Amino acid sequence: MTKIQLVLLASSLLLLLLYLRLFRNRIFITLFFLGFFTMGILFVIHPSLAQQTAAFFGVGRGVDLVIYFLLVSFFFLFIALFYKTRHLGKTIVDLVRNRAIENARNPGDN
Amino acid sequence: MNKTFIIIPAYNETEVIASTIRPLLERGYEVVVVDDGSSNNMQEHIKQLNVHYLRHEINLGQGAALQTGMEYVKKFNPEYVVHFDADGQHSSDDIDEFINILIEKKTDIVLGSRFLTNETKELVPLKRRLLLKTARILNWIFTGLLLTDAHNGFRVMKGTVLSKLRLTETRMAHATEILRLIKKNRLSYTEAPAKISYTAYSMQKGQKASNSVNILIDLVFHRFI
Repeated sequence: MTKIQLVLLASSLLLLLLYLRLFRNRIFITLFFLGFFTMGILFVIHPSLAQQTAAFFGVGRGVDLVIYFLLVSFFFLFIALFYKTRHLGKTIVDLVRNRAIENARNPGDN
Repeated sequence: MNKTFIIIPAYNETEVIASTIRPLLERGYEVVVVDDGSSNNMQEHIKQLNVHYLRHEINLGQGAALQTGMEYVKKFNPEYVVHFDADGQHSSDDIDEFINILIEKKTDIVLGSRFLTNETKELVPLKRRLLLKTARILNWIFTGLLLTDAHNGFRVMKGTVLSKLRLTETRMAHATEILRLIKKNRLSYTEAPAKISYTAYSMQKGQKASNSVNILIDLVFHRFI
């Protein structure tokens, strides 16, 4: 086993533990990340497996396949986070607005 | 109650805001100041004035402040609602004139423009004029309405259209959103020349050219996503 394999294996396992802990009440997310990391760990241990998968998709190298996959998931993740933040923003605006209207000072109140 | 309500979004304004409000009160308008989470002592400057005062606990942006004002005035069933900048760049003389236009032309909303008379046009600094020309074209692309002025804070509308102008753009892109809502809800509109007085204060409080990029980003994101 090469040094990079050791580094990647160690970080994958650590990340997997963190994810499992973070999403322990969310079964589907947990299953997704379990599958995701299992695939990653398999690719690290058997790089030829990544190579074969790449060939199946018509991509030259296993690394390239991983990069393409990462790019696409990055943008999906970005959208998901964007929606989440916007939703949070709207909630805050509503809260602040309702409080402002409730506590309005009318003319002659001074 | 047949009243005209003036909504003034305000953020960290100084004593200038009092001189903006006084002529409005003298004319008998109801003034609604929406303090958008100011961190200075703005409240002190308007303490003695007979206005409706609403305060956002945190800064949300001008669009959000206008929407808060509009939502607040609904319960008074206002006959007319006016958007008015806090920095004193608009003229209180224009309000009645715009209301007359609203009645004569039977439109739902009258939008102020700096570019209908040479007198006001020349007051706009060249750099800003170019910026507004570009914004005008972008607004046209995004909303289908080609106006002479892209970002004028002075608008007079019927109270009945409040429910059709629900602003979700919290920052400056609300100016474009208003046009989009006018188009979407098939409101009738017209432009009319609005007086403008630029002071060192209003220039410093006003939009910086670099912010137009942010407005565009807001628009693109919220239109397509």
